[in-house]
Amino acid sequence: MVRLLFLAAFLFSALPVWAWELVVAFTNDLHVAMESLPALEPYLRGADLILDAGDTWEDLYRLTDISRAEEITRWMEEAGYDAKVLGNHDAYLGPALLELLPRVGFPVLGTNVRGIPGIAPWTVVERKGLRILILGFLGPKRDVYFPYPLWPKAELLDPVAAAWEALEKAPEHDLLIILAHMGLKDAVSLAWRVPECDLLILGHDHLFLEEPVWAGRVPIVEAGHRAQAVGIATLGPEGLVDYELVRLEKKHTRGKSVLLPVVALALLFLLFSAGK
Amino acid sequence: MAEALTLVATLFAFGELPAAMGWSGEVLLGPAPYVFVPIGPVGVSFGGETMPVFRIRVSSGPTIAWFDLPPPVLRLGVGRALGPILLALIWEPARAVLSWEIPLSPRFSAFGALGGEAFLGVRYRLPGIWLGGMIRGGELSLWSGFYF
Repeated sequence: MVRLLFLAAFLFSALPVWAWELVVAFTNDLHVAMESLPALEPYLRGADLILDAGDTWEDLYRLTDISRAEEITRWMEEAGYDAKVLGNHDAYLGPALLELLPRVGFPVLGTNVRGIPGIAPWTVVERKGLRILILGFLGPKRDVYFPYPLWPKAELLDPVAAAWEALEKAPEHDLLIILAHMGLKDAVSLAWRVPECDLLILGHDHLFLEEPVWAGRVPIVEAGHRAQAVGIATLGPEGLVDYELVRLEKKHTRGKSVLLPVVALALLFLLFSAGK
Repeated sequence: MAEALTLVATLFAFGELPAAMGWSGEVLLGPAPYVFVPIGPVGVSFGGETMPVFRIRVSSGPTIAWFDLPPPVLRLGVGRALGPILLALIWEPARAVLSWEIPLSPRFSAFGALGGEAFLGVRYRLPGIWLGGMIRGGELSLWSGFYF
């Protein structure tokens, strides 16, 4: 009887280690599409971890500004986001980004970014007894991801070298998740060279990946853009257990673009002034 | 010397969008050197006689406005990062200028101005310093500088 009790206690204590499942909900390239965000909420609510792969705070097409970035940040905080990586459109905010970063209630990652105060190289989140290390990378092309004219002092390191350096310094962990804001080709290259990664969540190319792209044992996933999809990845002891790309109704209207009228007005103003 | 001062005033006013929009301090070396020091929303320049003394900056995210004071150098600039490109409309009582800077590669960028003032330049960036050339009125001038 005592043996049976010991066996039951042993099985009970060991079971969570064998049978855990971690549900990761993620978005990428939200581009301050505020009108579409409420549709994401039911899918985010049930997740153990909520992550974002960058390009959250600016939309070039609609010429949004810092007030919209603040607005979506408050929404992300309320939704319970655990971390996001910086995207190139976040960097396009210019120095206003430095004012925003201290007011963000979750870590903003940039493992390969130097010279921008308020960016974290990594974060560790504990869920279901697991220590999850999350790293975040921007692509290697500095002129695209951190344009020199806006960020004359920032430095962008090679993602692979920065990943290896971070893994040497980072605390012990059970799972590694990478948030990457770069092209798919660069992400595949990164995943091949960081094979201990359990999940790579990608942004930048606006891809609706219905199935993961595999780089060795590393699954790469991406959920479209402007909140038109949300990704749900379930991880277990053997890796990716399940992946679903949930498509949502498109609410972002093209009619709201202000880019062309602004450029046209600028040119008219210029012509008028030059003709005086 | 007067021509050099005009040149540096032009570069400061219309061609230094990284410093104006990135709001960085700058040391610039060339035909007429200057130093620009931003202190909060006010920037102070030291250099040529024709340089504006104060630059006051207002920002709302990637849209940036600045005023150069005191008169007679009254100048208003409104700029925006369009992705990696910087674009600014700069207005003085007598003229308006469209200034721009476009990264061509991680090390090269081109900059220039159209309208009431016309020039074209390229910048080559080394770690911590840039080297540049600007053609204005058929004359080439060479510059270097760094941001702090």
